[in-house]
Amino acid sequence: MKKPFWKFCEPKKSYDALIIGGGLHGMAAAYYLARDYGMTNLAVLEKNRFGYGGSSRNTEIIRANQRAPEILPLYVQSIQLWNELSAEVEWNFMIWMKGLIGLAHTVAGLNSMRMRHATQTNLGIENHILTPEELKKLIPFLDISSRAAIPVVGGYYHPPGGSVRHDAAIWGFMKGLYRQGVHLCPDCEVTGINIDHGRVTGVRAKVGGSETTISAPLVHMAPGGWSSEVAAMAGITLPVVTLPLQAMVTECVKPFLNHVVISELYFCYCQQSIKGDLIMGAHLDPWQSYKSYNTYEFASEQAYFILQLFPDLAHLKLMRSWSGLCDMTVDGAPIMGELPVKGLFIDAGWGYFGFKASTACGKNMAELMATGEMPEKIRFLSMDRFYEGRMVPEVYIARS
Amino acid sequence: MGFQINCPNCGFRDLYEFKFGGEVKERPGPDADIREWRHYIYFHKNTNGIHEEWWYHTFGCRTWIQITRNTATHQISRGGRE
Amino acid sequence: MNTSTPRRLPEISTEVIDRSSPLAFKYEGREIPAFSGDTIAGALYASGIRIMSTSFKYHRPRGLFDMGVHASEPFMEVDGRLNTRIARTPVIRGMEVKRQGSSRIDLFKLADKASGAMEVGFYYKSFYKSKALWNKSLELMRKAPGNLGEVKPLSSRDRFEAVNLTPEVLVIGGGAAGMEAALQAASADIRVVLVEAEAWLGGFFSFQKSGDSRRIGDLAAQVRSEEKITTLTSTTATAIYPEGIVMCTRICRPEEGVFERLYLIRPKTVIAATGAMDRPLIFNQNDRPGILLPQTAQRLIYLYGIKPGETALVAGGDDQTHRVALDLSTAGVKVLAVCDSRSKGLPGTLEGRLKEEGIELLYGWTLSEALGKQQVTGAEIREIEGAGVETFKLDLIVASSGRTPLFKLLALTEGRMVYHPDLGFHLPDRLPPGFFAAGRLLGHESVSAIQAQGRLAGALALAYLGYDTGTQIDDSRKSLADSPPIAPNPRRIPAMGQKKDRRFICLGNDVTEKEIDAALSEGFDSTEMIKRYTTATMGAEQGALSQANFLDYLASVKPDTLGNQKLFTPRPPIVGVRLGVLGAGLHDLPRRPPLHLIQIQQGGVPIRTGPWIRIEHFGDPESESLAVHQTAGLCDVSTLGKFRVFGPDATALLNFINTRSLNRLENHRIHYSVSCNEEGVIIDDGVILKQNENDYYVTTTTARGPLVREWYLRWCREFGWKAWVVDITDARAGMNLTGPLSREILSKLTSRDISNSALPYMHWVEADVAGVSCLLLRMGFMGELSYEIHPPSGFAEHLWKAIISAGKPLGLKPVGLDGILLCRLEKGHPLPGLDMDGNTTLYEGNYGWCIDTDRKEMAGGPMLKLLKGEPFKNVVIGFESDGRIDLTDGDLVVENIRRLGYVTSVRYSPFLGKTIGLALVKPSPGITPGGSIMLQHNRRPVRARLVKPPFFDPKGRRMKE
Repeated sequence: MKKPFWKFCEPKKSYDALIIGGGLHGMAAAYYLARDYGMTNLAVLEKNRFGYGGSSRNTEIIRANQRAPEILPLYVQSIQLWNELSAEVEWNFMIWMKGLIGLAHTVAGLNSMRMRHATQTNLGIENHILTPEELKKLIPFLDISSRAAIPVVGGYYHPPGGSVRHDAAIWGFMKGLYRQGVHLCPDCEVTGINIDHGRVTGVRAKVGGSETTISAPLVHMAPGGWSSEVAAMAGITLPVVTLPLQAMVTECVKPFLNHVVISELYFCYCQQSIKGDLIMGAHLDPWQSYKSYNTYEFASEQAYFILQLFPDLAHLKLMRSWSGLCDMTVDGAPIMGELPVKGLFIDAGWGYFGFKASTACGKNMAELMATGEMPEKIRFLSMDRFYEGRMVPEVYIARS
Repeated sequence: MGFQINCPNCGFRDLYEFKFGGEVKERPGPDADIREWRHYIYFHKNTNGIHEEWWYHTFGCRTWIQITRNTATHQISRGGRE
Repeated sequence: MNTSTPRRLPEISTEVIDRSSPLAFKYEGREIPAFSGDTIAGALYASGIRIMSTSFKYHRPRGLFDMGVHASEPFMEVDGRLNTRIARTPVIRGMEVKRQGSSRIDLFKLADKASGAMEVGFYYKSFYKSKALWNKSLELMRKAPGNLGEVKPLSSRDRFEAVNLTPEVLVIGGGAAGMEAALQAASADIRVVLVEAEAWLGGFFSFQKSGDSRRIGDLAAQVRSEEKITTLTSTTATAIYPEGIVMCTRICRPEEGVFERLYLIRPKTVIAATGAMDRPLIFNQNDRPGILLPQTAQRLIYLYGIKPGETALVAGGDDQTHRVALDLSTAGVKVLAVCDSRSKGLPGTLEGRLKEEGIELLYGWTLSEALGKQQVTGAEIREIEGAGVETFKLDLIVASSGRTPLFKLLALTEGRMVYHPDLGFHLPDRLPPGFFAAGRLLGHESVSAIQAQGRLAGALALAYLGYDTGTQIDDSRKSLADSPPIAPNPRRIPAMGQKKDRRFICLGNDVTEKEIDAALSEGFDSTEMIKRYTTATMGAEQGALSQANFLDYLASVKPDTLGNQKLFTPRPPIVGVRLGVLGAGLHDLPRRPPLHLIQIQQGGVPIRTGPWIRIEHFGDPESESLAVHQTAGLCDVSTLGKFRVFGPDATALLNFINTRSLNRLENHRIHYSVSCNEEGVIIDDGVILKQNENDYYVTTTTARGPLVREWYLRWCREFGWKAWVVDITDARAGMNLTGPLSREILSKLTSRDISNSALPYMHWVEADVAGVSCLLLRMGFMGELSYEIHPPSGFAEHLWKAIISAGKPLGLKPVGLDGILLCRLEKGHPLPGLDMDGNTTLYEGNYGWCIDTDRKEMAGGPMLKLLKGEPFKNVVIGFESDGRIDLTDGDLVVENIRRLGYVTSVRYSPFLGKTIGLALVKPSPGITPGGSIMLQHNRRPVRARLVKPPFFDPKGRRMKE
């Protein structure tokens, strides 16, 4: 018999801190609380199984090429932390720093890339603007001919981008938490948040069929797509809408694509996994939904878009599709910080880019929870910004 | 067979023909301050369950309609009222 | 090497090959004979080829195993098309078939010999210390799989197409149940579509030797001749989507000119009669070539006339096993024994027939191991409750452990698939309204029960559609009641022979019982986690073959926690679908404005902008912009959104959305206005003309037309206003004649007085121009005297030609989009979505002048009022520098090295002799008009003067005179 990497347990009556949500964000916060601040009297409460939500329903991409300069340092830190984890936890997170390539199909699109290119360069993040011919050298199967409906006019190459095996990350954090003595409690649904005189005192949770109270002076909410539901338990409304995100994967083929490729016009992205399948994703379905589903509309559009980029993939077969829930803010940036209830923290609104940032989110939330000081990297992400009109400029089109 | 909205003009049509217009909200009154306005604009109940919401039939008759939909199941209990 | 070459059998009535049409194809440099109707795998098998591919992880030899709808591997490259499922692909004369994977000496074969080194989760548990080592092994790992196809440049692009069908009833599966259901449904004289994955009708019973095959043939003929039934053979239902679409694919015949067709079927009701497949029996080395599923053996014999082997052992635990043994024997295969895991058979079985054929029937025995290094050369069998062991020499093993109903398609609906412990398989339960099921999918095996069930499903579907089919329902229920009960699958047989690492639960990804055991002991405790960790059921077959055995194994090891046999969330599609055919329903259909062709004729260079194809320039954008300032230019602005907004509440509506008040808009005045969202952010800009009381002509930008209309209608609906917004973008063209000589040119074409006093700046008239009745707008955004002419689209080209020929002698030039954008920049006109982002308020974008405050309510009104005193978070600024400076859109604006913002538009203006631009920056004390800013182009600093736009003629004299 092999030794288990972790063991699950039922929660105790009280802890120094509780984390709601056994996804990557919640586990990362617990991990860094334990690692950096010696807080090991913690429990991660997960309604389903660990990694059930967006953590295992993503396209595994990491990158630091967002539009808003404010948020870039957080992503840079994330990449750095991803790269440290394997050795730390003694578990291969399968980090693959393969580089990410963005494609522009219009001059305006290319100009927008130039802005991001210059912004990233200004912050010391590696990024290069490429001609179609240079792109073709990196991506031999890319169609740069004028035969394409909307030909590629240029792009960028972002070497710090890449992928992390999502399951490896989930299990790696589980292993890392268990080793430090943090309690992992699956099938433990939080049903209420206890607040006394504006201060959080713990949660109510369903454990083994009955409801119990677990007390803790610090409670962190990292429930992904269900953030509004959990926040509502504390009487808090969030500036998010939960939208479904679909993704799909083809059968395996020999290596033919060595980078993450994103077409900004078609808004689709793809990468070939180590195993050989092509993982593809696109935009969110633009309506509120707590139901996961897959549609023909999505699959066909995605196939069409991918073939505009890679016409030689016409015989590659779609094998399966899946979907997850994304809590999306209007400015396309997350909400991180302490809430109007003392001791109650949130890390939410991560839309479809939560996977890549999870390590740094955990690290900064841990710092905030342990020290009470808002770290510089997330200072501008508090929920108050929506009341103060300090939007993060991720979105450039007026909302209507 | 699900995933369709009963448009008052066009009948049952694919969700993808429509644009989601968000939850039905009340505009703040004349004395509302900027915080109330921003709460109204940016914050949402984001209900997991029965939801009153706006939809616009973009690729059809271009009518705005209000429907009642369960966001957990996509069951539409009141759809296509003009 | 065992070279027993199975031969073709004498012709049989059930076969689907055409012996009068022999052909040959190429396989690895060999000529392979075949008949029309053969599958590639079948023809290879008939030529004695047993090893057809290499397995994914351990590079083990693999061959033909399954031929049913879910048969994925073996894959081969066929005519350059990768990963072709050869067990499902018909042969075509001269086709070129190649093996995939590496034929070279392969280090990874060692992995099989030392499978300990490749234990489950090996990569998760290794290489975490050294990044360099991991990066190296990562590349090895990518090349490791043994059976992968290679993406190659396609020499020709195959055609794919999509077809929509909307029948009342869709029947999936053309076997006994499906055909009965289709006939029953068609009796109501409604449209029925029947899809069948095979090239023929009849399903399972088309390759059963029972006396019923005649009756199945009759049914098929009846279905074929029924006019109301559209029968689509060779068509596989691959997914049911929530939009109500059943997605089916069909590989077409070469003469159809289309490689593959997608059928998007939106039925009112669906009858699933998808049948059941054999469930693989797990034993040591259960993946060896030479092991066939019972249905595969039967298909070879009865459909393709192929003798599956010379000497065989049959193993299983149900009557079907006995039938297959008899089938083999009839085909001339020597059947050494039938191992039946049951302690004894059910009454009325085929025991007597087996005895007659001299086949030894061993109750209480099972197959424990396939022998043979590359392919099957023998078998070891064991007594289940005893110590008996025997071995045989043979070249064929046919084995199964009962069957698995093909519920994967139905599992994609809201219906539930429930495990029946007494039967040992999952059956559909509580299907959503409009869905019905019949046949072997529901567990039945007797042909009479299956037929009755088909009729019942057809009648129920008709009842669902509102037809009175009470009698038919009762009749078929009655005949169903007389049918024999559903036979259970054999009980689980405990592992024999202690080779858990050679008992393959999942052939697709090479996952053995040992690996699942390891995952369990390492802490993986849910089926989903074990699945992901071991990758069991995640191969090309997507669990079709392996899921039942995987769940069953987990249930046997951990009955307390994993005993419920809960299926995984189904993930469409259930069978791989080519991206080519999946995307075949989409087409790029750009819009071309009415002046497209004439401009192309005149040398215009097309450019795609969103849904439109516009003209970028006519060869020299700078000289085009110069013409605007020096003589005249003619620009196509037909793509601007144009709307008629009218009705009793039209004024109220426009007043609510636009920042300018219409209360003082006199007839023949033009209002420039912006529409604003509730945040106080500009959505769009355009002009408003009042044509009559409560009747307006409204223009929008090219990109935002549809959005603006949606925004108008939203508020119309909110307040119940009676106002109508009619899109006339396509009905009216638009061209802007601009430049100091524009009046002179236009005068030649109209008798209307267009002098400054008769048609002042920001006024409009209806006028005949070149004989065409147009809206003539004295306005423009390029800083010069200009007229925007909106003729009916049909006359646009005539008018364009007339203006060009009238103006050419005076130096008029056609101007493309580049020139237009340059001139608007010279005028300092910021564009929403380019120079302002989604957070830039109207004030920050320098549009504060554009608000009239004489109205009670406006969509963005309250916020605009509240924002008025707020400090700016962003601001749009103008800058310039003498001469031609190397700058591009997207360059940064910096303060020391800190990023303040970025350049949103920058161009060299030949007219001004300066490089001019707009930028969106954070307010800073350093940003003051008359001061300077620092820009960064390719990391080099560039200084520029701050100026308040416009960049020339601030009073607008040139436009107004």
